[in-house]
Amino acid sequence: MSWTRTLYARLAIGLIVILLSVGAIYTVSVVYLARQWQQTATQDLNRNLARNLVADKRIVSDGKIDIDAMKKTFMDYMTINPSIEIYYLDLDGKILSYSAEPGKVKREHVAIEPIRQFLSGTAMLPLLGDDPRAHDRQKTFSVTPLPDADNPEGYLYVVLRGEDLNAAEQAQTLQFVLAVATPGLIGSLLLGFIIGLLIFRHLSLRLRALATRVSAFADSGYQQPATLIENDSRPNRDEIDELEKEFAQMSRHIASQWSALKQQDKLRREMIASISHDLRTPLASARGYLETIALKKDSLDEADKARYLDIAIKQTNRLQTLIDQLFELVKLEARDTELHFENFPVLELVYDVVGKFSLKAQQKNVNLAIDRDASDSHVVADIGLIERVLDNLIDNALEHTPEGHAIWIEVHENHNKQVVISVNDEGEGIPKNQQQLIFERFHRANNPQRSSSGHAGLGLAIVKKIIELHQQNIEVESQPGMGARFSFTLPAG
Amino acid sequence: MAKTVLIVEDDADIAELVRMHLAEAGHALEVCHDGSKAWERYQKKHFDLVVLDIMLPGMDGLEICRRIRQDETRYTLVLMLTSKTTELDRVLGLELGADDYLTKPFSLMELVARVKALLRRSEALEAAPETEQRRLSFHQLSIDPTTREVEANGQSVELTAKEFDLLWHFARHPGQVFSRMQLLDQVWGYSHEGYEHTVNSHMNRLRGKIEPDPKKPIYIKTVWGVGYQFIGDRQ
Repeated sequence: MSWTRTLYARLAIGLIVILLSVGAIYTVSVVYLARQWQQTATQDLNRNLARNLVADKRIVSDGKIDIDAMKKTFMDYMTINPSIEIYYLDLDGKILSYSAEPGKVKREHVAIEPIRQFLSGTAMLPLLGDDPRAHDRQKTFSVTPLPDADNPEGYLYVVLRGEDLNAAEQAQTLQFVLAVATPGLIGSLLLGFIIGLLIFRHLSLRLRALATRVSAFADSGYQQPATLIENDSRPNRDEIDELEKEFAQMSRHIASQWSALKQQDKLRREMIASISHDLRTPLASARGYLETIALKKDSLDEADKARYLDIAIKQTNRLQTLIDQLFELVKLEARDTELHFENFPVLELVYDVVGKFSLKAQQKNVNLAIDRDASDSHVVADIGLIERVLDNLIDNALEHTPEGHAIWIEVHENHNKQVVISVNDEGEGIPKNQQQLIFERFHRANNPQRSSSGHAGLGLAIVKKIIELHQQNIEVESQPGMGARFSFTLPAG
Repeated sequence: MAKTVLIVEDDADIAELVRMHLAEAGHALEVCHDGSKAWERYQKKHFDLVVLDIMLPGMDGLEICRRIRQDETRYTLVLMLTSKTTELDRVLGLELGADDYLTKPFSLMELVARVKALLRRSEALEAAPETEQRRLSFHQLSIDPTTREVEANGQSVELTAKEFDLLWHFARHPGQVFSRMQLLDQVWGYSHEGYEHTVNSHMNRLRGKIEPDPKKPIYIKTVWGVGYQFIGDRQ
């Protein structure tokens, strides 16, 4: 990064521009004011010059203009005091006579309005009138009516500070101003510049420190959140302090999101790996048996063919169950499922679901029953999802209960305004160290009986997810060899 | 008499499997692999049943089903084949008017059985038009099948189409106990595998509307372990 592109350099350049502009405006206005002051002083001092001239040189005698005396005065002043120029004007401002060499006077008229203002005596000084020696210049003047104020025939118009003095006077003014004002001006501009630089340096250093922390956070792969520099002790916390605080919070948030995302990604990859394994197994089996039939169709007897086909069909069923469960779980986890809460008697649903499984239970010679004292309390829940929970729990219990044993379901209301539903079986039970794992995706209890059952363990993961969506709890109690009891709660309606 | 069936399925292997098994059942078959061609065929020829996949090139199955149902000149049975749960939701949720559906992958035996049941049911319907259309009145409850209006405890009750069908079914068979599966078959007409709870939901809402106290129902009672029963003396 070129140094001119730093914030500090830009602020410094901006400051220089501002200070130079201020200096220039200051100088121009000082020069202007000095000239204005000078003109005012001159005009004020010479206010009565024209009237005095008329009196001293007897230009008016017996109420009449003495043209000769006037001309003599013109001649005298031209030689004695060239700093003033005298003109005789008529009442409209037309120049009738003057005291200059021919050719020097360029105007035939001067504006009458400044003259009137001057004579009224109320105008603010300096009053500028037309300079007859130039078309575009105005100067201070003194004027008096001739022969007198009551009966004017014309004006004696005296331009103060003649032409030759103009240039010298301006140079002098400028020199004076510069000599007096420059050191002060330069000094204060420099002081302002230095103070400005110090302030900017302080601010830009803090900003740069913040920028460094931001890029350090980015370099850490959004993992190391910025620590909040404890500057709460500063009496006046400004926007940069706020920015630092916000950034520290934001970086903590980003870091936690980032790690959650990575964790999720890891889970997803593990899940895909286990899914493809679990999908491949039944597929490989079905394909194997179908290929066997295709290859050996002549050598296989009918009983073998039927048996192989039966296996292939069972494996495709297993595949289908797995895919269905997988989609169900993905849908539940993606929170695509909107819960439709209803107030309903849960025992009715339990009876209906048990009715659905009664044939399967009979075939397995398992006694599937509902406790006599089951409560007919209402609950508030999503009927469809709770049916899935009961389906999966009863199905799971049936898978694990050996022939001749029983499964029973209990429903009761606890003191917490909750209805507790439990599915109890007389299966092989679950070892303590596996009791929490069984709700994980694709967990399969470590026993040979179960791995042949065709259930990949997604059923319980679905159950847990649904209960979580209802913000309720599910627990498992079991001792190996003593069966298992899955119980979950629902809010009473 | 052989029934005509139009099979609309873009996967040639599955279409062939369906054709093979339905041909064995003695139906006259036609196969289409494209949605818009299927719609053309439907317009030209009368079919008793259309077996309709959802994902199709040309025009999707949901659209074809919608158009078939809009055709007021004839009633053609529609059996939908779905492969996604989201599609299933649409089939059921929109009540598009499919007469039955199967989710892929499906058992061919089941397909043949469903087709047979569908065709038989439509024949039965044609043979015996609706018998009872009289208004039924019970204590504090009266049901009018022609206007589909229900009055309970002196107040008019708004019921959805299925809630009314369910109540009408019960009211026509007072005292008889129906299991959930029976209600599904007889009121909904096709078996919603995985959607059986629809019955519980409807029952629940129906009780909420007609029962003075839904927690202690007096009209639709539960016979624990057997099913549901309508109690009421005809007046």
